[in-house]
Amino acid sequence: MLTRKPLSACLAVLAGLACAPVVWAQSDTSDTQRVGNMQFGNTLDPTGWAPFTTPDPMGMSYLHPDQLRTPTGALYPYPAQAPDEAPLGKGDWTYSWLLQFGYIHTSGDRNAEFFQMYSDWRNAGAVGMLAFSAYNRKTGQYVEFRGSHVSDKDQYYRLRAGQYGSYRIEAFFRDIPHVLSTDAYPLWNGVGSTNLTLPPGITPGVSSQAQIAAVEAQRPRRTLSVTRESEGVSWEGALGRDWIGYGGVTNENRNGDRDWGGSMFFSYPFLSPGPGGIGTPSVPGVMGGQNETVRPVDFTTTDINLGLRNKAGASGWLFNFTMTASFFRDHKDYLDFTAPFGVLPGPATSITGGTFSLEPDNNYYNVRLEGSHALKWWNGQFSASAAYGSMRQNDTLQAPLNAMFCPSGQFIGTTGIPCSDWNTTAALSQQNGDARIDTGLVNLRLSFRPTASFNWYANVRWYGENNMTRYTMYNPLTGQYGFLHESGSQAVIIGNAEAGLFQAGNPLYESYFTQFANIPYSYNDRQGELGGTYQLNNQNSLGLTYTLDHQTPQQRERTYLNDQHIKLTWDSKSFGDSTLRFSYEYQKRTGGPYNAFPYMNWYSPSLPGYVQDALGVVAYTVDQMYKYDMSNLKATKLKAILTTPLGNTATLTTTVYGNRNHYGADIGRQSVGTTGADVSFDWTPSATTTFNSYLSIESSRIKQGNVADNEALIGTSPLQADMEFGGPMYPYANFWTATDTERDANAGLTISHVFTPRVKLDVGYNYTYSHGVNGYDYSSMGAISPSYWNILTTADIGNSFPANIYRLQTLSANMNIALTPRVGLRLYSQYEFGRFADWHYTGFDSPGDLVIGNRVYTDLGPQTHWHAAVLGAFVTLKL
Amino acid sequence: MIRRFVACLPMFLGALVLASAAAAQQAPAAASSAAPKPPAFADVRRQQPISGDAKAGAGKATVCGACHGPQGISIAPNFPNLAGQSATYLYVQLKQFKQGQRNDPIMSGQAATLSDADMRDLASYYASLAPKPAGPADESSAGARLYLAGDPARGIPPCQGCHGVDAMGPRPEPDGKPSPPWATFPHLRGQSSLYVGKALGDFRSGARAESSNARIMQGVAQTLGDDDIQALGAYLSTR
Amino acid sequence: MRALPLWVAVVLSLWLALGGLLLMAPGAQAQSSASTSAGSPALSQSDIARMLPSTDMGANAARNADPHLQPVGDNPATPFDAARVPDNPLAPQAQAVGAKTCIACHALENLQASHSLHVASFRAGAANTGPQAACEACHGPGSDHAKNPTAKGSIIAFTHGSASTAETQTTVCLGCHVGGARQHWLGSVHEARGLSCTDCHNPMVRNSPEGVLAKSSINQVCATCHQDILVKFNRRSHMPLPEGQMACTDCHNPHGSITKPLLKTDTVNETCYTCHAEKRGPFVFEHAPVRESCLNCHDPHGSNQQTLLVLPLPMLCQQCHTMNRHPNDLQTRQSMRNGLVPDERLMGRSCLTCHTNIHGSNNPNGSMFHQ
Repeated sequence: MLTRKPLSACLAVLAGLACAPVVWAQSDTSDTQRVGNMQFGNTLDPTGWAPFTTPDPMGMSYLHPDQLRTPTGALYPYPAQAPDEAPLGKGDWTYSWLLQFGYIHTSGDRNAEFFQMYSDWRNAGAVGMLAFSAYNRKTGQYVEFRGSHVSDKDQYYRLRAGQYGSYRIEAFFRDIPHVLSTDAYPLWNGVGSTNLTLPPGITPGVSSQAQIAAVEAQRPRRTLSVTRESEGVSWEGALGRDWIGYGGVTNENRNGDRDWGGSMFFSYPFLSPGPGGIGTPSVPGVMGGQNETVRPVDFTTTDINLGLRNKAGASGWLFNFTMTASFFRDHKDYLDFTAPFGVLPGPATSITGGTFSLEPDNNYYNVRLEGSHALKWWNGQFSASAAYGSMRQNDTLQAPLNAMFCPSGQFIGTTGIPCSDWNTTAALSQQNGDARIDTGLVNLRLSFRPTASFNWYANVRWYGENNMTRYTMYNPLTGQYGFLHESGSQAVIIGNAEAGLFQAGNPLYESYFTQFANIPYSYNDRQGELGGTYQLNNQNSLGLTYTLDHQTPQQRERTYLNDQHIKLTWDSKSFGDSTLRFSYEYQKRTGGPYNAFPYMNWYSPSLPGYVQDALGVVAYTVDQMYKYDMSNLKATKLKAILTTPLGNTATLTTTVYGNRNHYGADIGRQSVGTTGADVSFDWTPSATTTFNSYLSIESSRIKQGNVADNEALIGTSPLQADMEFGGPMYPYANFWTATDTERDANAGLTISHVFTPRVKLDVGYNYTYSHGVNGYDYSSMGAISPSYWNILTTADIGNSFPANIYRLQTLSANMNIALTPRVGLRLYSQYEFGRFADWHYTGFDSPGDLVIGNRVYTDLGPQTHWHAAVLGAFVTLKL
Repeated sequence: MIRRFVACLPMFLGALVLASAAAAQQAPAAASSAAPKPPAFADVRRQQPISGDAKAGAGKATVCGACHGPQGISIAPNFPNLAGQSATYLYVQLKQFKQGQRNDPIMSGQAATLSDADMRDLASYYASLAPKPAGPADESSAGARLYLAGDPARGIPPCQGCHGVDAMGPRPEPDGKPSPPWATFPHLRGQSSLYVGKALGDFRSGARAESSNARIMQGVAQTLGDDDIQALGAYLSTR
Repeated sequence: MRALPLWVAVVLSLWLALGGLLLMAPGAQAQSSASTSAGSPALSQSDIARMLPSTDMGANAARNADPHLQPVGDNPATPFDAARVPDNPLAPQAQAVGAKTCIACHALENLQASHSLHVASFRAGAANTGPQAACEACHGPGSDHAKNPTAKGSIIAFTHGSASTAETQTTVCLGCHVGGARQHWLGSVHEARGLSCTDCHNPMVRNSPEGVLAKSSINQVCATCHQDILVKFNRRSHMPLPEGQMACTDCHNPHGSITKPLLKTDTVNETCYTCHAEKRGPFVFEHAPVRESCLNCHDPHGSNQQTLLVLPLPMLCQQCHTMNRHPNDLQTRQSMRNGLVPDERLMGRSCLTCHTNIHGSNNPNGSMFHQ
């Protein structure tokens, strides 16, 4: 009772805020046209509504005991018992509340990555649910609040208030945890900042691999995670007769850190002299360096959404106008790291570390106007949409090299290139990114229903993307084009020949093949679609759609692509009570001539003063390679869903699906195939008992081909320029294929029963299994890196990687006991048992394994076996 | 980790004990406060049409005939006619008299001694008898209008929807969907005005509300005024 | 760790035992029935307040046809006056009978529906059509149904086996809920495949926190037909949908859209950028397939590889990168950490260890995404 006065005050404030004097239009909401924040829940209660889902044993009707079904045939669940309500003050308001609080205890391998991925389980108090609602039956005004707190990183609170049919305001705050690794042992100090430094005990260029491995072995275990915290307010409501407005602002902060990289040139090719020394099996080289660093994530995204729509038609037009503005800010937009290894053996060279530009701040705007108008003929409707969008970024650019790692006064290796020419922003052709991509969309549609059993439509869609970013890699200090690869480390190792620079008139650089400008990829997409459905009889309906999708990519391998789709659908109720939805689609993609290297305009041979080397330009790639977004394609897709009611209390749903894509390429992606089936059985014998189960299997296969180049020709023979598959540069003997074969099986079972109206028990079991095998086949050892020819035999190579496995079994039980009408107890338990294998991490067993050669890794990969349990005990209090 | 888990276990056990204790306390408390114990609600939504031995029923019907008449046509208007009535309806009603959802000074006692088989047999027997012949009902009377069309202005649904256009029971079109237990809906034709009035009055006042069917009739009867009930009685008794 | 399952088993069996005890206890059972029996006829005050009135409020659902009444526009209109009683093509002669008539028989439906948004709206907001229109504003005029409830098509039913076509059903709903998120319903895949609003929504009960859904969450609703998609979220890498943090409708608009497959924005990428705004850029150096479609490399519904990738690295990259020297070499099992030639092109995050800024780079040395 004590709580009522503040509550009334709260309500008065909310009501006052909204006041909503205009009630001319009947307004509804349109959440499903805006991206994000539609679901508020957590692992403890994924629906965010569990405390309110106890079914009413009375059912829905005095007339019949069983529930009706959806038009398709799935059973509607029994209505939930409505929470008790009490009057609030003397008016027409009533209210209700529920608080569920308690303690969560975790045990077992609680550090397992997959256990924690999106659930911040801790041993701590938690609020399972805090809910409040109030409702005025006379005016239709309402207030609803729902929240849950598992931890500061895993919580949500959402308030909605408004008046039915008039307006709604919403405010929310939420934190979503995302754990990326629980097995991280970063070598560096300063994780989370923009500057990674080496721990004491390491002298770059001096410390041996073993010494660094020893330091690494002692590094503390860390969890890398990103927490997404967001908050927002919005309003949607009537703005006058037939006009409905929307305004919303959300702000999101992402904070944390994640695995990153850091390249200081290759290590793998430098395996010589061989037996005994470097190049003996398992004796790594001492050149280059790869650093798996950790980057900070410190992002803010602010979105503003506005909308205005007319629902009855200003002169018969159904209008919908939306505007989105999004502002992304990266508070840590670079990352510097000191390299533990010198890129060449011996004392530290001038390039002692690397630097990254992290994502720049960006702004995005999109406006869209849509209108539909009824037509006089054939029950027709004309619908038009047009949108314009723009993505922009103008961040300050970094200097090509970092003065910290290449100080003025020093030179890059033995190249004679002074650091001072490259370690300031004076070495840039422009100081800011000045990047911009504009997009446009127009969609026109005519639909007709000339008879009750036949309808057809024609749709035309145009979408275009225009990349206006222009950036030239030109250093005004030196007059050179191109860039210094990998923070300059490539030049240190290979010298001027491959420093990455082009300069007309300079014999050192005048023949170097390098990219010198950004490539502004853009494209236009014109789509025409003609479709219709014909109702054969009461039970059967056939549909046919033809789509022609004409894309004109710019600066890509093909100047145009034609994607044609024919889709046939059959919806039938002629199998007893069952509903069948069947679809088959055939797709064929063709296009203009394929140019395997369309990028010459952005490469140095296009610049004046380029002197062609006598050996010609090394074949960049093989002519017969087709990138799968550009290659020919013949694809079929089939899906059938059969929903079968069994009696009045059970439903069986069977799904069969498959697709086959053939890309018509030898080099590149060759084919993709997926076949799967699902069966689910739902049984609700009475209001108090439900039983759901499902079984799913899927197998998929992706096959690709590739060909290793004949590296011996590079720099030695004019044959290096031959791009032909089967030629000397890309001989058939170097051809190889790889096949990814994955099998997935899922099964699950949930049983829910209300033993008396006071005890509700939910028990669930879920099984997930995936098994992936990466096999390969190769024509000869030519497919393998030449540096391994002396080390590996075909027996060593075999024909597949060990299987990748992910298996997770989860058993959960949840019991709600009503001790009194107002006090209850909730016991929650979840036990999971998992197994994981991924060959990317095979052999990374302990932190000491993270250093191998000049490579330093951070992440040991997800735990391979784990058992973990969560137990929770909560007290539920309610009105 | 395991140790901590074990350490926690007593807490959960404690919670469980607490829960069971509270549950145990709740039950007797509720039972004692509700003395005399109210009859269980009769959910007849799953009631299937019954079968019984009409011949055996005839042998058991001697007592019944004293009021309901030897051929199921009652001897006085305060007793309902049973001849030709839906067997399932009769069975359900007998059961409810026995179990207490319906109360009647005479019938409660009569039904108390009946076994389930007795009730089935009796119900089947009376259902097998020829119903009272149709009467000269005035199809333009207020009662007829209510019965056939209801009165939307006052929220009165037409009775014929469930009781049949001729008041001889519903004749639903089967549609495979969850449907009402049609067999439990009575035939109304020829029942006396007095009996119809009593039945509707009981529904309206809530005296007869302890079954799923009664709940429906409770809602319906609440839309009826005394005049309406009289008009319906007059119509049905002469139908 | 071996002991753990045992303990869990102990706890679970205790729960089950307790549940069993409660089930078996005859007292408890009787109590159960008694309490429902005692509770239901005596509706709570709030139930009564919420339900459609059992008093006559001038039932006049057919008022629009009544020339004696003032036109709707002259009255202090309320939001729900747009909710007129729809025509039922299968019962053209039927007359509206008013909610009071309906709830005479459908008393329990009335109680349950009174907790849903729809009935509450009518209860509160409609001065002209009145609460009396609450049932028939959706189900059409009810006189035929009242007289012969099982006659097919006598009212507009929204359930399995309904004689009313999906078009009739959806037209009713769109009568009020036209436009906005439903702007493109006509011609959308769900419309074309004969779905009705009530395949996903159940406006007769409140079984979901919002959206008057047919199940208690959006994801459960979608999985009714799209089970194959939902199970993919059980895979190793997935977005936090099974964890209750996301819904299918965060990205898809099931009511129709002009971007396949039912996406809310102009392109796939714009949908992704909403939450992954850092990837939006634009970057000085773009990676063509990244800018073209996130789906070139990622499966948003879940994958068996890291970060939703459709193939393991380096195979994923090697589908396009057949360039000379290091990209086009076959990687074998000997490139693993414990192999004979551990190779940076395979171990850990593979290609991404060096080409880290793979979504685009703003670094002057970033054209190969190294920096």
